[in-house]
Amino acid sequence: MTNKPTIYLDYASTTPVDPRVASKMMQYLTPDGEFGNPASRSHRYGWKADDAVEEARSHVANLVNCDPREIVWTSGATEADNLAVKGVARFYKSKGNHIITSKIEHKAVLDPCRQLEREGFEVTYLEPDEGGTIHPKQVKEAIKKNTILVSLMHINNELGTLNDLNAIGEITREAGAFFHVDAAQSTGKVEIDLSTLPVDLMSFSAHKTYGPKGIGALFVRRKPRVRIEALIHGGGHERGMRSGTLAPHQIAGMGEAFRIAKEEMKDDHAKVKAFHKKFLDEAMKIEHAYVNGDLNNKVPNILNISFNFVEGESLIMGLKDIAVSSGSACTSASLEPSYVLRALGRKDELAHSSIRFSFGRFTNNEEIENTLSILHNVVDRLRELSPLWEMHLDGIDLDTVKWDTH
Amino acid sequence: MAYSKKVVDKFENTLKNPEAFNVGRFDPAEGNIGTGMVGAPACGDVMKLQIKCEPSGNTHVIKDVKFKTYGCGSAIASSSELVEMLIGKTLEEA
Repeated sequence: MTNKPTIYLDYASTTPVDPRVASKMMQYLTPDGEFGNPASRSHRYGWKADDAVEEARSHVANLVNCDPREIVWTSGATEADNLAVKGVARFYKSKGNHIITSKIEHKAVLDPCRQLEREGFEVTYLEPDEGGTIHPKQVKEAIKKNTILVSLMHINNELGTLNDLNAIGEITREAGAFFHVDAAQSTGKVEIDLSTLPVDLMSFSAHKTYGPKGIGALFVRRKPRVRIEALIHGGGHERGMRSGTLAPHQIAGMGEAFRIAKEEMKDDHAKVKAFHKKFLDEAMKIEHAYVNGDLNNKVPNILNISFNFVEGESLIMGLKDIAVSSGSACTSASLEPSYVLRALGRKDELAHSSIRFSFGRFTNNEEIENTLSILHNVVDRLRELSPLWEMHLDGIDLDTVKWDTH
Repeated sequence: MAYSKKVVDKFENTLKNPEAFNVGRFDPAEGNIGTGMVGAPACGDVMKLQIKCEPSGNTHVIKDVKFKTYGCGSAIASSSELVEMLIGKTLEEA
């Protein structure tokens, strides 16, 4: 066990850069490479850098089937979400001031919504069902005359559950509201066809799809046209929507990562699906383990499981040779367990006991097997240590105990 | 992770060898046992502590301690540390 590298099962958090992507990025940095500023129009250094940026833009557009002119580079999905939510709200505030989102969005959408509330906008936060899905019907019921924007994620980052973009988009179209989708977890995992999807804005991240951190993009539809107010001013780059010198090495990296994603999506998916099945079958042999998120409506690369009677953070510490994430409070600065799991109506103790396993392109069978055997062992040991497990074995129903909450 | 080596070691050793680190519970039939439990599952921490006392002069001495903790790694490590500190102390000292 010693000196073995830590097994990485946290692909939903970030992925390593594919070596093919890294070598592409290296071409745009050094004196012997194309290091120019793509905005320089007066010499070949600039032209070459611009070529690289536009080639990458085509690769990104190609993966999601949109026009390259609809892609705006940002520093990542967080900035893309901010630009979409705040940009649309502020541009169209004379049309209305109501926004619809959900309780299980990423903070990159929730925090901008909070900011807009401070600016006088009204935000409706839809509740997911217990499987982690937002239903089109809920959107329809929440839409008002003054609704200007609906922002919902495609794939939930903690659960892997999917929203029905087509049905929701049809509702927003009919209501005359814009539809923004955070698709940070989607690229290379599921097919996205923006030529048919009724989506107006979509956020992307490079580093969830084997590209570098620090680069992302926002799709801004041209027909029917969506206008946004910029967040960053200073030179009018990206057709005024996002100023600042473009980073060709980052952009080329994202382009290459998305080009590969398109080519290898089928293989990646088949591989991850097999890991998911094996992991689920084996992990569910542990008593009182519960999957969070509807198994019939989720992607196979994310698997979120609660192990009742053990606390998630101690489980993560016990799984020290495995890199995973927990919905437990101790891994974040607050005492609250995952707001996503709580929104599903999971009891706090189950939210505290949750672990997110996420698989990816470089995961192998041996890693899955080792993780499963370590997992069984550590859960058993922590339960030996757990007064709650002892009470459970004694036949005490923990729900009937009056706890002194602090 | 931000935990010190001491916390990590204590956690891991307790997990590896629970008996040696006073994990468990006393036989309920035994006398001179005091049991306390604090925390709540919803908050992410529950500790159950049992002490076994013996009269000594005009006080009692803690002869043995057993515990179980549900909680994060530092809660488990600190429970384990506390338990070691208790053994041999009189009730007043403890």
